[in-house]
Amino acid sequence: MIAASEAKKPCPWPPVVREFVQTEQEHVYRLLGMQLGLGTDPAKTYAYLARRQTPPSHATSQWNSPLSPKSTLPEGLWDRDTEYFSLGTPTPYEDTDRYPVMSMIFDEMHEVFLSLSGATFPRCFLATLPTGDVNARTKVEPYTGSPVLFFERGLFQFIYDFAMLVGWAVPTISLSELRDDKTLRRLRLRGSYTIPQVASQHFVGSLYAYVVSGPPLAGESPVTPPAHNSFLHRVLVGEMTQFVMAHELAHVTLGHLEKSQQNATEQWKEEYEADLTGLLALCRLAQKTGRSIGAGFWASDLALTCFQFLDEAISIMAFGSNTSWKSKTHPDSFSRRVHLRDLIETAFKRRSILAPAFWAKWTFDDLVLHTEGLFERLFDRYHPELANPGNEIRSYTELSRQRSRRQKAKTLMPYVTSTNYAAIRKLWLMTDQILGRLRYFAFPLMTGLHYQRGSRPSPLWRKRIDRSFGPAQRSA
Amino acid sequence: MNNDHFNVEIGFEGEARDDVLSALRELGASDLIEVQQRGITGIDDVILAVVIGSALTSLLAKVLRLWKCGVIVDTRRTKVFIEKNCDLPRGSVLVIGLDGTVATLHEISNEQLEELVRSLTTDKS
Repeated sequence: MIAASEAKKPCPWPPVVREFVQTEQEHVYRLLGMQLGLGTDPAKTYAYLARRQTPPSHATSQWNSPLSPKSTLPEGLWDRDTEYFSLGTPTPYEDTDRYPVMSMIFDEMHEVFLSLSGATFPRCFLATLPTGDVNARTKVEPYTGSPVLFFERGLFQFIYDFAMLVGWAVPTISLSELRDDKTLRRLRLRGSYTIPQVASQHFVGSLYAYVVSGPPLAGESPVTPPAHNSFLHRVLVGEMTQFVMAHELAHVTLGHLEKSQQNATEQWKEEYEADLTGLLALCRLAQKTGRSIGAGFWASDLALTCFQFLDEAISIMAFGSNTSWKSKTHPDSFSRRVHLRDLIETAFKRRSILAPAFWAKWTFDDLVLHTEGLFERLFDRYHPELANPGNEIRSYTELSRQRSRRQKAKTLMPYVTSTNYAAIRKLWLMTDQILGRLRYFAFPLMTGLHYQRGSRPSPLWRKRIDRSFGPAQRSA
Repeated sequence: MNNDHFNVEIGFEGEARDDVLSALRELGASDLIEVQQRGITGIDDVILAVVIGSALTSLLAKVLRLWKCGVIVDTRRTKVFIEKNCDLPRGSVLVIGLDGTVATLHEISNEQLEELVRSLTTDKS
């Protein structure tokens, strides 16, 4: 167990954990080497893949500094960087430049969790795997009980590429807008805004390449960087990566890894909980460092959106348009997005009911938003059948579910101010409009390619397909 | 009878967990651990156990019969990985030896399995 003050220090690995991780990495590199025709020597495969990796956009621990209002390095930070780099990597299968940076980001998030939970939990270790899957897994080392968070390199690559796609598709968002929720809330899509053609090309081309040729294991991105939105790209990569790390750490702090085999409903519930706790950690970090909370909300939404798009594209290529979600461990990413949005909205509505005592400090915009929230809440209460058509509150179970949703939303209330809420509403709207249009353009095209050209997903996605999708069941 | 002890890690995404667990119990496996995992988009089922050589032979025979795909046996470090692999046809086993040699065996007999496990013992020594 560790205390908060120790979380942000680099820590040497216990030999047993190092052995556990290296054994896992060698096994995976060996299998991959065989698939790539490189033989069974894991070191050789690692050396081959390490030649070209995800572009190192963040070569220092200040990778997320554009969001920070402080432009100078805090005192002692340079020493901390040096300390991390001097430790080297825990196994020979980690990149000497990238691993220390990842560890710094990870330890920062680790520290946030310790302050969130107010308790100690086992020190977690960070490792990478190269299978190409877009995933991250937390696995407990069985003899010491230490959780090891294995991040697939394919996950970082996909997040990196998806952030570039978003950068291409949306209008230029400046650094000053990204730093501050007050300016983000004023963000508007002009009526005449046209999605650049290059964005549509990249969207279809890269999704198709990912699904049919498999993830680019050697880091050859199918997308080119958007020069007009380089800050946005950089910020999104950082925030989306942190959301994934926070989700995994949430499983550890919430004690999910200590539970024995569970049914699908319980496992899905735990995933929703980990998403919410991950989001809370992002908010806390943003608050601590003076960054935009709205951008954190947006990045978590986009992280789940990118998984949703990838899964949709894979399922179309595997089964055509006739697919159903069958994972026993995870809800589909669209439901997870909706769930998080729902909690943020509920938190805002609750806050706007409780907040009038502070009205004197409000701006006119705050007042408008508060009034809107109040009316919306009253409307929901008296006309639930109209507010949520097809989703009426019918039974006690539904009522208790709603109640627990409200309780969960309460934890988000400190972060969902009217300014932050207005900012995230703008960003959600923009994402839904632009990515929605790209989606409706791309997926029918992919369905056509599946049926007419017989395009199929790469064998690298086989495990993902086996655990997540099946042909849709016909109703009687 | 082969009485050497092996640390095994069994990965069996999509197969019945109870079948694997009951097979291991029947074969007298010790230190049985269901590895607890969580992930961002999905996880595989993994069980750790310690088995003696003769039990490892029976375990391999059983999973080759039960699982819908082939099996990879990777023996290069301190653990023996037994992993379902759907690139291999059902009943096939791909063995990666300590020296990195790869052999694929189809419709493997009990004698061949015994020989295979014996070779792991030789490698260990």
